[in-house]
Amino acid sequence: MRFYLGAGVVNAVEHLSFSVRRGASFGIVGESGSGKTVTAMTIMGLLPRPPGRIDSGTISYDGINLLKLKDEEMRRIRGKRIAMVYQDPMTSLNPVLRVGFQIAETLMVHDKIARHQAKAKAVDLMESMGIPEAEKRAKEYPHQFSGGMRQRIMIAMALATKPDVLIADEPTTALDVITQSQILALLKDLQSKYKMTVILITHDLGIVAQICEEALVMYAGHGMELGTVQNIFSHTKHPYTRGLLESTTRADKEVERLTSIPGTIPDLIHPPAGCRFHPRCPLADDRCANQEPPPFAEGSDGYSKCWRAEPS
Amino acid sequence: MLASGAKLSQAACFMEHLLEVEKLCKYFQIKRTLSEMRRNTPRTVKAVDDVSFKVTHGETFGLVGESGCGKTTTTRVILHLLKPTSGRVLFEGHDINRKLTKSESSHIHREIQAVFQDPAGSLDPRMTIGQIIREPMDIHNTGDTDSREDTVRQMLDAVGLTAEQYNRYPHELSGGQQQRVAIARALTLHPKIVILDEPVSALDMSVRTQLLNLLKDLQSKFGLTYLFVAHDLSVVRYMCDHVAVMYLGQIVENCETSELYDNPIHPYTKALLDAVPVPDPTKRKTSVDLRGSMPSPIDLPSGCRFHTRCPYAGEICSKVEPEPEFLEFSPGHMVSCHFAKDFIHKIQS
Repeated sequence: MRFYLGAGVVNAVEHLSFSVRRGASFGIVGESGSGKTVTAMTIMGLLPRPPGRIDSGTISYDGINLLKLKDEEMRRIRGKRIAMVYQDPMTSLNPVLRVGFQIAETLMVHDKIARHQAKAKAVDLMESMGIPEAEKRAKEYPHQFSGGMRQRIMIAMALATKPDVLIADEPTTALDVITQSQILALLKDLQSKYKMTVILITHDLGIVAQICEEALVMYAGHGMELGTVQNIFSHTKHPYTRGLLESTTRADKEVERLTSIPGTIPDLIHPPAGCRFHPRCPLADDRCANQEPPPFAEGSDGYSKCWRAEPS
Repeated sequence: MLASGAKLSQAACFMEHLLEVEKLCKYFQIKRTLSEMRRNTPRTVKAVDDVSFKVTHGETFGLVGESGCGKTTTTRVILHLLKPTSGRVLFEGHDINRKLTKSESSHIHREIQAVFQDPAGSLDPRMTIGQIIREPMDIHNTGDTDSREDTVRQMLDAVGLTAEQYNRYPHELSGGQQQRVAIARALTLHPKIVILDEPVSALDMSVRTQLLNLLKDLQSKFGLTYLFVAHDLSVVRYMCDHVAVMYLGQIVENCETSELYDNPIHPYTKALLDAVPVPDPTKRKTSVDLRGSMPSPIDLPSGCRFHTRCPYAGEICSKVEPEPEFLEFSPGHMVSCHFAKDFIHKIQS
């Protein structure tokens, strides 16, 4: 995925491959600008083109290449079979419509059911999201809800059509820590109840460790490490992942001094040659600076895109 | 002008506590509708209600809580940006919220500096980095032009910026670099205490640790005292020596950091600690045992403010408000909870 802007070409996501098993919860972790949201929006077919352009690659869902679909066909999948929950519930909800109607609207569009049926269903959905007095609150507007409640409404909207895949883009970043843990628990419950596949996008390694089975670590538009959560956290292969883990503040351990990753995230209009992490990597050598490493397979599933992680 | 300042700091040598907050209250009046005025319903937000704590020389004191708990309001009162409704703030043993003479006020503003959460919002976009760092010295009229320039360059170096960035504007820097500028600006007057209000929560993970380590280094280099406001308990554990946990305008637990993480007693503290996602898949936690969300600070619950959400609440909790220092579990470990004793027995058995 590239963006062609006046200032140049932003290589937002490059050479990225991963697959998500049905029913799994898959995490995408990375810092801002790593390409995690672009990846999600590309899957949803929601990126404006131009300036965005997909130069190569495929996204297959249930055997269908989503990138080849016509707009009409994509519209039937988006929201119906692949749904998304966005980071900021305040800007994603329509401030002048009652929340009950906003949930019902999804049902009216995709399931073609009558307005009153859809509204009744919306109330049921709100109840199962743990919103008290759902009947009354369905008639309220987004600004009358707290951040956590708004996010529950967003989840209700996404789940209204019982999608196969739910993409949650930083669903708890704007929330307080206790509300965050309530929302994550709700997502986990709903996943097993609806037998959904969940792709969780976050910058918080803690959330991935707590919620996901498999994860992808992204940096500057490249997938750096892919594998099971156990492997990523206990048998870390990539120096970037290791750097992140070592620099993460922890509530469960006392640490005298954390080691931080030096430098800053590169500019994606002029990304570094070779491995994109090499200017900040403690292990980098000449090869890292000149040649982009291929993703080295580690065992059956998972890889580490690093010359130095090459199995010898 | 300097004379009274010197007197103040001489007195400070005998004080153990650099900053003391005593029974501080800050209420805000909000607009009432006509019918509310007729019925005479009070509409007051008790943002900070009876908060006391002491900050010792050279330590990092953490103020933790969720949004709306009053931690930022507390710091704004300390910074003289708000007047307290009641209670006092003592700096070096002197009440700073009474009417101050010009020199006293200038002294206090020099000794208490702040770094805020949003680095872009707290830097003037029309000033260069050099001007921003220099401004406090221009305002307080310290040294001559050359020495001010020297200090700016020293500060740039101390916070890890290059001399080349002197003539840049804030928008040319990344978030982490902007926060470094804010830190440099806070330190140019060599303050005794720096109030850090969520200084790293807007930053990315890898940059966050760089900044935290920088703050630690500067603290030992300049002998600073920090009042660290944060909502992230993992950051607080890394940075702070003492922690006070706030809920709805009150401190519910106050103790040394290691004590708080090893023996949390207040049910709210426990819930907060349980809610932090730990980056270790072998330590998966069950969800937090807390009902609902934080009540509105306009319509506070009776008795203990936490009783509406507390899994252990008994009859007394909804009727009687526990004292802020209801129980001293161990020296310096204060808990404001009716059932604190029962939780202690649980810990010990």
